[in-house]
Amino acid sequence: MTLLKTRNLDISVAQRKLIYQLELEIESGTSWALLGRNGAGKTSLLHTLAKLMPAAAGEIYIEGESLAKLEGKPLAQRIGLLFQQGLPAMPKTVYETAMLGRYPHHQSLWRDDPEDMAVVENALRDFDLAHLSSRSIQTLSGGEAQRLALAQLVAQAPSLYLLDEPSNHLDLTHQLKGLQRLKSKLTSHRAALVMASHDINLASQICDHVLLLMGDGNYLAGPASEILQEDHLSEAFGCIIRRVVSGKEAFFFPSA
Amino acid sequence: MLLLLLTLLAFASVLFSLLSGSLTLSLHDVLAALFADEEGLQLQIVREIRLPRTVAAFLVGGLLSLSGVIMQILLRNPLADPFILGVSGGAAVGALTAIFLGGSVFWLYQSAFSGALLSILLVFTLANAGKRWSVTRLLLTGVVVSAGWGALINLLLTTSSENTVQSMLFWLMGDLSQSRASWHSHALLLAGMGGGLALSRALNVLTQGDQNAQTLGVRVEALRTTLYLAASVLTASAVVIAGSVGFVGLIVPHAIRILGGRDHRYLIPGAVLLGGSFLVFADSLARTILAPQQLPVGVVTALVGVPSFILILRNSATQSS
Repeated sequence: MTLLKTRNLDISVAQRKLIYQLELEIESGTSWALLGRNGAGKTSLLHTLAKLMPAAAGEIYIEGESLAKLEGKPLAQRIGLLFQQGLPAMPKTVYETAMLGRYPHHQSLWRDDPEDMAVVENALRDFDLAHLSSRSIQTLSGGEAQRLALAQLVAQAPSLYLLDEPSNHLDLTHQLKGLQRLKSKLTSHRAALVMASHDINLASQICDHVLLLMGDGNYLAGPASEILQEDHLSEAFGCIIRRVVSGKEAFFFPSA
Repeated sequence: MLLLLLTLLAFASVLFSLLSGSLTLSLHDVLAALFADEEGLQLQIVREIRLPRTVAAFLVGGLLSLSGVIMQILLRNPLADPFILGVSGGAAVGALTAIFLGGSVFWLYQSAFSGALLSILLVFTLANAGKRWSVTRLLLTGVVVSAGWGALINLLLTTSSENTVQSMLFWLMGDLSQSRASWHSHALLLAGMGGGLALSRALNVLTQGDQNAQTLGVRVEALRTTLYLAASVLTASAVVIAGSVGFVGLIVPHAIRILGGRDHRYLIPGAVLLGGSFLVFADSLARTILAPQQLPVGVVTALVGVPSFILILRNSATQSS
């Protein structure tokens, strides 16, 4: 099923056209990497899809409905966003913060439903935070705070997960394990994932599709194996990028 | 648990207030005045003098504390209080003008309320004009408009005769001696608390910041407008009853947060109960400490509030470390 569809989508920031005529179709169950150099429009695209900023032109459809017509809780049930800068450090506990993710689903004004509590407890367990649930989030390390932001997003349980540099502050184990846990939810929830990242290798380990922004308004979109080629990547990043195969996996690194 | 204790505190404060005064009454007299169908001078004092004033004090404390909670989250600033955006300044200019012109109490109320409304609309229009809304813009507009009202207040004070200056100063410091709460203010406090509770989950989410709240499904722009107007009207109705009683709206929300009520589902009713009780106690002291002289209640709230708040702050610091 097509979860997200864009038609002739243009994105501009400060009169500069970053993405031109984007035609994207994201099927449920798939995971997309959003790659490109600094200032290529990765965050702007994610914010446009989350309706935080307007598109310069074009249309966006989520589950067949026009994004322009969605607002508030119905929108939050469909689209969730992990911000690049994570969550602000407020005087709240880990559990309370993760529970905020249930906001678009709460039935009662006052009571937390057992279902909400179960979802939050599972999300905290998924990101190894269960033992910290009563800790104040001001005492968390950078990586723990990032895992909490991910847990809050999983508690929100949107159909489309938008992740802006999810591997920020995460150690290598949590980068791979955390994102794989999130990915494992996609098929059962008929959801999809788009993650902006600077880590091509992590992207190729997690994602089956790639949207590569060239920085001049053009883009390449398709299955990861087609897009993750030395020539495409070198052009997009403006430096020579080599591909090295080790066992079944391919790795990418810049070459001097 | 916290809310239960605060409810008990509220009842205790009301009883304390009804018992204190120049004429010593027994608990039996007070209860008889409240619940029995008898007549007599003592009962009359309780019913017609002490009770209305106590109710007014509780209402004003509750209104200001609720408004303080809202202002602090709207402006994302722990120093925000109900008066920061100029509502009280507008009301004060209205009230002082009425005193200056020698109007009746009725005109003082009307004039104060009109001044407050004018200030609310002025700040809202200026802050929303042209560019995109931001917290800083609203705060700066409010502070500047406040300063303007301050100048007008000084102008009125310096050009008035000595007699009128006395009553102007009492009004400015916050004073409950003339106060009678109308049914409007009861209704407003109840509506404010109900609305606040209905929005409390959204307020919890809003503490994460505008963009975060937006992606979690809060309609941030509509919520902000609602919060601004609600806090302003709550403040206006408190100021009209009792003048600018300082300090309550600033520290009561913090006290509840420190006592464990950071969640707005508890913070909102908690702040109303504590704010109401606090002002009732403060007013009882204001009219008995130097009796027969009555002090403006605003003086007592600061004198009692400062040390007790420092105490709470110290205790919470030692607990969490």
